Amino acid sequence: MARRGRGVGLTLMTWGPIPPSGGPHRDRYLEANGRSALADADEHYAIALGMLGDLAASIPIVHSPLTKPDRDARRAIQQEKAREWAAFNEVVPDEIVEKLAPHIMRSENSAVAAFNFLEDHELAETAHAAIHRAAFMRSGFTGCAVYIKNDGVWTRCSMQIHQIRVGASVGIESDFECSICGLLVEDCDVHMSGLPYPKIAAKTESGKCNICDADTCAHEVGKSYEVIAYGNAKNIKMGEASIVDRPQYPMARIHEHELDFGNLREQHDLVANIERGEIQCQECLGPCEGLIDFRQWMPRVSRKDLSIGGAG
Amino acid sequence: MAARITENEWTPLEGALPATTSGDTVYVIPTRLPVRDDDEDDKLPRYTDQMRYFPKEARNAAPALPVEFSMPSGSRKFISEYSIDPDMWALGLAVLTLSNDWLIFVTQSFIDMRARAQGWSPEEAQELPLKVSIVETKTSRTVEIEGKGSEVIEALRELKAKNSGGKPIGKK
Repeated sequence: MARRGRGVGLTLMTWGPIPPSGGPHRDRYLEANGRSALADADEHYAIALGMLGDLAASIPIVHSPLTKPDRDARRAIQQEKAREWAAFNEVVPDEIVEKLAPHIMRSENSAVAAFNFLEDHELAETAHAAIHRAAFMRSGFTGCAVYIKNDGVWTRCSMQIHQIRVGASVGIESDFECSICGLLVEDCDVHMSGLPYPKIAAKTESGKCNICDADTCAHEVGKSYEVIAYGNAKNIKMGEASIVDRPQYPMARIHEHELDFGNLREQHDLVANIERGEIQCQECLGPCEGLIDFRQWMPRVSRKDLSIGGAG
Repeated sequence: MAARITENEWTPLEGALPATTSGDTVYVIPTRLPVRDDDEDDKLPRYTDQMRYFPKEARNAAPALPVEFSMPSGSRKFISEYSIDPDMWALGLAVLTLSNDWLIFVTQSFIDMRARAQGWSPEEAQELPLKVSIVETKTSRTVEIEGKGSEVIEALRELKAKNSGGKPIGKK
């Protein structure tokens, strides 16, 4: 049987209000969220570094980016950095690594978020460097185990994934009901989304409060409360998911992808090693090779390879 | 630069037009096909999500404004697509005749809605690209106007004057 192409897992949407789709509102939304994520990335990196005390002075340093892609040069640097980390880990007590690991993971995740928000901003390169910085430390201390899924070997390595600058755009058909009167929002001329209106508290058919949607709360049935009008999505019908270069949800991106390990059915030892968590991806230890944009990436993957993740 | 105007090169989707057209009403028509093409029983055209609030917002800004959806409540469907917006927003309209007094006002309301939705100043919004596709139901004639918002409004003024048999407003 012919080997299928390599797969990717995509996050389609994220919880919370729908991000602005364009214009100055979107610019402000991206900048505010991006700066906040970047500050979080910096803060937790500093905490992790601080936990090392005097040892921080001798921590291995991220190699500067390559001027052009060169797999051999990159692999050699990766191996050298792996040796540096092995030596460094000899002198760092395990309990310190245990304590700093959550901070460095958070720094990495926040840096990825910051880059997704700020990719068209003057801080893009700062956010990009923050990913490499945190991923390098995380990989050096705790490694980056790959895993088996769908007969393939997969990774969630942010260092590899953030380089692929594509996102997901999902097409959805749905109705929106006015949260105040229950009419379809397009038929309700009275309540404008985002403005406050009085609403009488009641229990819904499922027994929840119609003010706050909680099972139990302090709202008294029959009493009027001021609430903000919004559209409540109903009858949602998923359509297609498209790959785009700028998703409306900045975090609607690839969250995992498959590595090329050939046919696993013929590699029992490898599978056993992976299942024991012994196979590490060390890409994070190597230098940046640049970003892959929508046009460069699309020819490498076919629609059937996309494994679609839900709201994350 | 003037707006680009084409006549009778565009055809509205089947099922997009209102069942009946009242004299001065401007109908917002759907311009998209369903996102899935596997349902043979549901081929009705869809509105883009931008349109969901448009007639309501336009009426809210001017309560007497005769603007409504071409499809009746309960039959309308909307597509939400979550990539960033295209630079050019598009508006599909149907009117009994192109001399309709409200075409310009409705189009301006659409530009104003974009300004509010995306945070542009009114002046900035006038400079954003816009495409308005109009069907004259009396004759089945279609017109598409494409350009900056201000250019489209100017083209609509000239179109109205031409179809009313008079001189364009603001022209000597």
